[in-house]
Formats: sequence, structure tokens, C-alpha cells
Amino acid sequence: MSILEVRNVSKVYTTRFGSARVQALSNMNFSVEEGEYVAIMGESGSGKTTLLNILAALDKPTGGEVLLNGRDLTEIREKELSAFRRDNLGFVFQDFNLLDNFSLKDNILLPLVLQGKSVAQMEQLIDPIAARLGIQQLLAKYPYEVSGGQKQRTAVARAIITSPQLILADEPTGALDSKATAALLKVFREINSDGQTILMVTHSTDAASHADRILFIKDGEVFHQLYRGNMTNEQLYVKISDTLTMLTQKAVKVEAP
Amino acid sequence: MNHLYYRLAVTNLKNNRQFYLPYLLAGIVSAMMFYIMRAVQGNDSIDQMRGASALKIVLIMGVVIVGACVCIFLFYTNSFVMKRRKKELGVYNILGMEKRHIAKVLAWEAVILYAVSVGGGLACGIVFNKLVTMFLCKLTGLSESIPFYVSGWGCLQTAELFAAAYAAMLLYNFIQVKLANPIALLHGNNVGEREPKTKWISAVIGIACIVAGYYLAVHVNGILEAVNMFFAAVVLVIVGTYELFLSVSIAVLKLLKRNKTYYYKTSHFITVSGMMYRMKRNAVGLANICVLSTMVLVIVSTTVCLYAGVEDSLQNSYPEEIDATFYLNDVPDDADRKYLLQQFVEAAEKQNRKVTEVSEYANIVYVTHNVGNEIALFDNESDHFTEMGMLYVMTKKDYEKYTGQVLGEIADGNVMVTSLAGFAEDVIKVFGKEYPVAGVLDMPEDIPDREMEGLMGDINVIYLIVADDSALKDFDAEIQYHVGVETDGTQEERKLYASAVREAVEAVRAQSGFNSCLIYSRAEQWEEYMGMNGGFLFLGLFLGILFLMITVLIIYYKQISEGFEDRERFAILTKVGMSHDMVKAAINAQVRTVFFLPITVAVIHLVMAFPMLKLMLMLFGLANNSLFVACLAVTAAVFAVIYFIVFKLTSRSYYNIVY
Repeated sequence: MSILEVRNVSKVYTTRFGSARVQALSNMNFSVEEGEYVAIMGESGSGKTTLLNILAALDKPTGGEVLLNGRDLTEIREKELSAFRRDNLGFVFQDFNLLDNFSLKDNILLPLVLQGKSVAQMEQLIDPIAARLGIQQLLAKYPYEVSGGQKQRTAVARAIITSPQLILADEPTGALDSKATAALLKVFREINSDGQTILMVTHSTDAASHADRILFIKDGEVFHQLYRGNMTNEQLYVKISDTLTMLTQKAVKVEAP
Repeated sequence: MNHLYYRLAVTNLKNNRQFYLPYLLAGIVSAMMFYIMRAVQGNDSIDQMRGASALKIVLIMGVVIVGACVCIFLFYTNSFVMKRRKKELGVYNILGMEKRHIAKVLAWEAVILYAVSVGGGLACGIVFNKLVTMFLCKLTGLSESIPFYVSGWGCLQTAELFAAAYAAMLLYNFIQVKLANPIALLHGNNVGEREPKTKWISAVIGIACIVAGYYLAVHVNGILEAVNMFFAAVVLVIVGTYELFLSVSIAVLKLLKRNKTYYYKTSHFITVSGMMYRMKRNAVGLANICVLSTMVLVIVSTTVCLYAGVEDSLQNSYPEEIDATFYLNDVPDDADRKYLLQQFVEAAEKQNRKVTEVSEYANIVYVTHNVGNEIALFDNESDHFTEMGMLYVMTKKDYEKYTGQVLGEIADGNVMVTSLAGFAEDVIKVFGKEYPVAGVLDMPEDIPDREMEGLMGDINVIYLIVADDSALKDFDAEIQYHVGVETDGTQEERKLYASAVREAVEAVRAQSGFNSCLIYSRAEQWEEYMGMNGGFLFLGLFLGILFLMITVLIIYYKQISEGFEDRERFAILTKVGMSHDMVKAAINAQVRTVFFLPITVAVIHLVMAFPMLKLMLMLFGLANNSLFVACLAVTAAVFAVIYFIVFKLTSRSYYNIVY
């Protein structure tokens, strides 16, 4: 069953006096199945950020609907939104968004504290997750004391500790070196094989080549999609590269005449 | 080329107006206040008034204090603004401006700030000077009219003082720029924030300082000790206050954090860690606010109390309208006494005054050193002042007349004793001679120096009552003959009467054979008191306003800087799933704590300082506790209201930044 459904979503930004209209998304349609690992690729300005903001319920579409587990995000009242986000979504950002005044442990526990969980429950939840992400030795440290890769793994731990329906990752490898990137992608693969649904927006072909399915968006629409099928990461990488090349050339062709 | 730097400087000031507008305003008000203080102090027409000498001392004190505070304050604001601007200066550096170019821009900025502050300050000062002087005259009861005038010295000294201050700040800024490299400048205001470490030792020292300061204040014994210890207590409490905010606060937060069930609650989680972060950065600011608030409260409440209690303290120090003391070699006999008293009555008749009450007695006064029942003369060299005592020797007749008590027989060579500290011996040894004690009396309430109780601490007051004049004469010391006279008449008439008495007494000096005499008039003293206490009140209010302004600005800058620090944190929290309501609640909790902490501590300081302040007021002859409590309460309430308004206003700019 599909956990996320995006139906005919469009988003139009108007400037303050309404003189200029920018179509960020036009008639976007796709769905994500439970346990799936989906990457979304696209150029700058293709509408990736807008889409992610809408999926994260930070922004509302001007048309269409977004269903998370059958519930329409656009219908949720402002008051419940934060709680809804907290309970159903996990976020991983490019710049980690860890709080410097909390230890890694407290950063990870933050969503649980916001949910009002008891200390015993928190202790029970954090240990296996920290162990799985290889940061159990670092829990007492502070974000400025650890490397970028460790920060991002902390952010992943924070995202999955509430067992969300869906993890939204926004360029999670954008600020990492190649080694840390590889480690993080491995973590994503692992938590995905545990059944966690992941939606990742990325520029990186390498990162995308770890996903099950890749959606290419362009000019606010889903332009193309690739399924992994039986391909290895390397094969998928080549396929993605080709697709991207094709996309760019096509764009040139379109604009040429 | 210079033109370019000038324009850049102007643009910088405009773009940073959020910081510079209050800074400039503070500069203008500081300059104005310094000028006014200096102009009032140098005002010739005040010199010619009665009671001016006391007032002048108070005002000179004021000039020095205002000058010093203004400089410290400007420095504080400058360093705050510079910290915020490091990034901007870093950008200039990276864009290819050399450090000397940046220095030129900074110099232009300083020149502009200086010109506006001093120019504006002097303009306002000259305009408001007359108003302030009139206010001072009203407070001190000086009635002469004050002409509008401009103090040349005032202008010059203001310009000089501020030039020195701005030059010093510019130098500081140069050094800041010189020391920093562009990368450091770029990241000037967000270098990795470490969680503060608990400094247990300084936390303990801080608590110890405050406890010691409080102990000194609460257990103060007598006025001399109060004066002696006041400074020590103030320093201890100030040091303690800084430690309290710097270390104790962090220690407490750490303890809270250690308590997991407390810490991992939505409302505490964000607040405790946020407070820790805040205290690290802003503890000094909070401690400043606390110390300044305490100062405002102490200064304003005591000076208001002194002013409101002028009549009271006057009545205490001068129970009679005319208080005359004649110094004689011999014990005056009845005829001598009658003759002197007659002078008072005749002077009154000549002035058309009526003498409504007369009291008179003779005594001998010694400053002594008492050990048990042995009384020796006080020796300045070898005896400590805390062991000082007073001995009054009176005849039975005078004592009975003065107190209205009827004493039993006192045999020749025997004495009766009344002592503040109580007396239980059979014999008292005075200056080597033993006197059998015929009786011990309770000390009457209205006897001279009875009020020394409590005021003087361990210093004892002993009255020795001897049988008759010849026994008094045996002490072979200078006799004091005291006359107290009460009259009718207005303030002016009483003053005239005092002069008439002086003349009349002086005329009979040779005849009555006194060595010298001191005559105090309550009407004259009233003017002195008003001059002094009105001056104090003026200074108190003036400094109160100055400190209040400084406090307000510190709060404002603190809110703004905290706003910038918190903006990012709350943005992240919102992304992670914290609702706006929760964010707002967390902010409010922190903000409320930060608001109430300094003023709560200030009020506690004030309560603890009460016993000491009470004694200090007694130094000015004021022993009206309920008046003082009322003054304290009203001052604290007014201050709290002003503080709260300021806080609300500055909080708004904080919220604007965070959201």
C-alpha cells in the first residue's frame, strides 16, 4: 500500500503585489510505497525544495492534495501540524540542524521529549539506535566536537527515533566527504531494509544510485523515473548519469529553436 | 579619498542603527547629565545661598560619580556594538580594505558619534539646566531665583571628558581590528559555543562572599562599625553577585540537568539548556543589571527617606529650638544659672517672642575606656574605638529635675549609676577613685544620648549621679551647662531670635565667666538640613535616573544579542517539530527568568542591607524605621514598574528578531 500519495499538486508563488507569478510545481503526481527508498533528482530551480516543503507540511500547495497514510496534509489544522510532523515524519537536513547547546544524546532525544515520553522509554529507545549508527561512544559529546559524518548520523538517529512513517532527507550528503557519504548511504540502506520508508532529495548521482527508485523532476513536474530492478549500485549509477545527460540535452534541444 | 571613508562611516552608522541609535541616545543623555551636573555644581548663584557649602560637597561628589559612570557605560556599549560588527569589518577586510583603511572608517565613525553625542548632549543640557537647577532649589528650599546661564567650564569639561572616552574606545576598537584576522572577524559572533563548565570553586566563593556580606550587614553593631564595614560588605556582595550569576547559576542548572526526570520534560528541556547557554554569555550583563538595580534602589530610597525625614531627624538632633552649651571652669551656682537664663528670656522679650519651655542642667562629659566597673579616660593611641564609652556626671538635683524622678539619699562620696549596658557592681572605679554605688537606676528614655543605644554598638553610656555641686566639683574638669529653650514664631522670627540670643550671651560673657559657648538654632539647622538632604535627594534622583538609563540600555542590548543567538536555535526547533506555541512558551520561560532574576536578587540584597542602611541613616539623625521601610517599598515598586515596562518594550524587539 502506498504510504505517500502526491496527486496533481501545484504550487504558484506570487510576488508580494501579485504582478509576477512563478509556477514552482505544476501537476506533480507520484506515490511512495511502504518500505520504499525513493530518491528525487533535479536541477536547481526544478521545484525540489518546494516539493519537500510541501511534503514536510511546512508549506501548502495551491492545488492538489498530499496524502500521508491516507490523511490529507493540506487538511490538517495549523495547531496539530507540529505534532503531526513530529509523530509521522523524520527529517535529515544537509546542514544537520543539530543544536549546539545539546549533547548528541539530547539532540537525538529532542523529538521524544517533545512527545512527552518518560525517561525510561527514552533510555530504552536510544541505545539500539545509537549502536546501529555507531555513535554510542559519542553520545555525551557536543555537535561541535564531532565530525560532519558523525553529526549526520546523529541527525539520522534523531529522525528515526520516533519510528516515523516517512523520513524526508534533504541533500543529506551535501556537506559530507566521500567516506562519510558512503557510511551514511550504508546507514540509509540498512534502516531501509528494516522497513523504514525514505524519501531523499539529492543532487548526487552517487547518493541516488543507492535508492530503489529515482524520480527526475524538471520544471515542477515528474519528468522521468528509474527503477532499480536487479541492477547493482554501479549499474544504476551509470543509468542515472545517462538519464541526467539526456535530460540536460533535451532541455537544450527544447530551448534551441 | 577621505570623503569616501566619511561616507562609508555614515552608511555604516545608518545600517547599524539598531545598535547605534540607542548608543547615540545614551551618549547624548550621558553628555547632558554630565554637563548639567557640572553646571549646577559650578553655579555661582548657588554659592551665595545658605546651606550651600554642604550642597556643594554633595554636588562635587556627583560630578565625579556621574563622570566615572558615564565613561564605564560608554565603554560597555561600545564593546557590545563592536562584537556585533566584527563580521561586517571582516567583509571589508576580505573585499580588499586594509586594516588602516578600516581604522580610518572607524575613526570617522567615532568622530561623528562624538560630535552628535556631545553636540546634542550640550544642547539638551543647556536647555534643561535651568529646569534642573530650579528643581534643586525647590528640593533644598533655596528660594533665590536662578538666572538662565551657560556654563563655559561645563561645556569644556564635557567636551574634554567625552573626547577622552571616545578616543579610548577608538583605540580599543583599533586593537580589536588589529588583533583579528579576517576569518576570525567573519565568524566574530559565532565561534563554537562550548557548554559552560561548572566552576565549583568560584560558585562556592560566590556564595561565601554573599553570605559574608549579608552577615556583616545583618550583624552590624553600631554606627561606627556600619561606616567601617559598609564598604567591605558592598564589595563582598558585588563580588558575590557576579559569581552568583557567572558560576552559581551554571552550577544550579547543571544540577537540574542531572536530574533526568526533571530535565527531560518539554518545558524544562529547552529552558534549562537554553538558560545555561544564556547565562554563559550574558551572566555579566545580568550581574550588571542586578548591581545597578540595587544601587538605584539604595540610593533613591535612602535619599528620599532622608528628605522625607528632615523634620524627624531635626527633632532628634535638636529637641529644643535653642540648644546652648556653656563651658565653665566652675560649677555654676543658682545665681549664675539664673543670670544666664535671664539673657534668653530678655532676648525673647526684645524680639517679641515668648519662651514657652526652658530646661537646664550641668554635667561633665568624658570619653572613656571601660573595663568591667573600671572607667578610665579614652586613649586615642592605645584603645580601640570599639571600646569607647561615654561618661556623664550630674548632680542629683539636676538629674531629678531633668528626668522628673525622685531619687533616694546619696551619701557623700557615694554615687548612683545608670548605664545603657546595665550595671550590677557595688563599687564603680572612676579614674582611679572608688565610689560605692548607692543605687542603680533605669535609664530614662529622654535623657541625652539615650538614643546611642543600638546606634553605638558596644559603646556604653554611663550616667554617674553624685550628691551635690561640691561632689561634681571634685572631678576637677570643665563643666558643661546646657540650656534648652523653646519659643514661638515663624521660621524667620526664630532665626532672628537665635542671633539675638547669641548677641545677648556674648555681651555677658565676662560677667558670667564662661569660657565659650555653642548655640544651635533649630531654624538655622533646618536650612542646613534641607540644603544637605535636598542635595542628597537631588543627587540620588539624578544618579538613579542615570543608572536606570544604563540598566535600560543593557537590557535592550542583551535582548537584541540574545535574539540573534536564539533565532537559529528556534528555527531548528521548529523544523524538528516544535510548534510555535511551544517555542513561544519556551522563550517566555527563559525571558521571564532572565527578567525576574536580577531584580529579585536586587531586592534580596536590599532587604539584607536594611539593618546597615538603617544605621547609616541614623548617622544623619534619622531613626524613623517605618518611614524608611515605606521609602524602600515605594522605590522598589516604582522601579519594578519602570523595569517591567522597559522589559516589555525590549522583549518586543527580541521577538521580532527571533521570528
